[in-house]
Amino acid sequence: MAGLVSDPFDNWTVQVRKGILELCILNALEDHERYGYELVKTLAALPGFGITEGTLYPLLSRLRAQGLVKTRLEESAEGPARKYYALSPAGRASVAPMNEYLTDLFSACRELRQK
Amino acid sequence: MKGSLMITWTESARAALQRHNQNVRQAIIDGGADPDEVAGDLQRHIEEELLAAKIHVATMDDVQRVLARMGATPIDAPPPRRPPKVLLLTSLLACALLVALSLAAFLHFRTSRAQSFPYSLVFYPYTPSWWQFSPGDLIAVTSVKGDRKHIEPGGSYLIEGIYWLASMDRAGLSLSITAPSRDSPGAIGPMQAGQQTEVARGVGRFSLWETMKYPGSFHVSFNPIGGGESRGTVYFGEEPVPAAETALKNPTHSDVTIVISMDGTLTFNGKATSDEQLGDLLKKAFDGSPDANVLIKATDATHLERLKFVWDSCRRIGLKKIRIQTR
Repeated sequence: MAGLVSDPFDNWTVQVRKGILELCILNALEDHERYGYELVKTLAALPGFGITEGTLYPLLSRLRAQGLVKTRLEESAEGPARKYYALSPAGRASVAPMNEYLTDLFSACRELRQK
Repeated sequence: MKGSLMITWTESARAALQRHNQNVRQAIIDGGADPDEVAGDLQRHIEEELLAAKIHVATMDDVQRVLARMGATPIDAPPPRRPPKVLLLTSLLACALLVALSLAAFLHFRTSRAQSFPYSLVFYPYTPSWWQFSPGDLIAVTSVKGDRKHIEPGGSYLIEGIYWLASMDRAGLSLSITAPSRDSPGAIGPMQAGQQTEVARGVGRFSLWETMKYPGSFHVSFNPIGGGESRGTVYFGEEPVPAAETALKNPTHSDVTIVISMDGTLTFNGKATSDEQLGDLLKKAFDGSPDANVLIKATDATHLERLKFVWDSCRRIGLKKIRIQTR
């Protein structure tokens, strides 16, 4: 993928998006559980925030292994069972401080620019 | 391919989904996720989107549309750059100019076309030549307009309709007139520009026009690219029974009339029916009677997939004499 990064700005945007992707997933799961493609659709619609299933599902798997996300399998008579993702208690406890940290970071970054 | 939620997948749709799943499979495995979960999730997601739109057949276009909307830029690729303000303004002006020109051209085209073909003709679609059509293929004429009040030599006619093409990746779609004999004036010669077009696998609308050089029967056909026997033809004309020898006998009555309303709901001989009930009703009425006459009534605004669903329901139980009437 390195060939896709054409200059320092592009490289930086890739790193920023990678950095906040986990938080975006946790935020999207805060209100209610979602299945994987529902998350892909939601996040892909954010302006400037591209994502594909090749990125999202492995990340969901990692968040689950870290205990931040839990899954529930819903059986269906009409097709294969669907896996729903939701915040675990640990994930719910983490999401607020993560958002606060990011907000503080943005504020500090803006303050530097105004000085 | 039968989907899980009352959705039928066309071959091309299934192939497009499989290609996509194959492309992302390795990245998903490398990331420690389950590719079967992703594939099953995606198929069901597409089916749910289509069902919400009352579409029961998944085509390649449907798959590509959903994938295009969801598979934006990979996280490892840079997002589209925000253009500088001057460039943005220039682009906006250029877009506005382009839209204005396109609109003017479209209005001119519509106006000139309306002027060229001012008369809407009442026409009868005749039973298509079933032995030629491959499974999944169909042509339906929905409108005939002309510069004369009747179909006659010397007049020019605009024919509009719907096609479904499943048996070939691409095909020619042509409008012709059956010549009384090879010696008829103009019977042999190059086609006019508006007489033919090329269509791709899937479903779409068409517009073809032709000046009638000799008396005969209008028909629209699928033709293999590169030549060969036509692969399905529909005839139509002003008379309830076609005059040309090659045209087929037109059924003068219908044993069953299925109406598709503008919102996609169905009635079977005047009684409301669900998609699920339609197959059973057809089977009860026509089991072992493939020559029974079925009339499907729709409007020009009917979603093509709804028409195709009803059509396929009739074909599935072996019915051969199906007419489509639009208004």
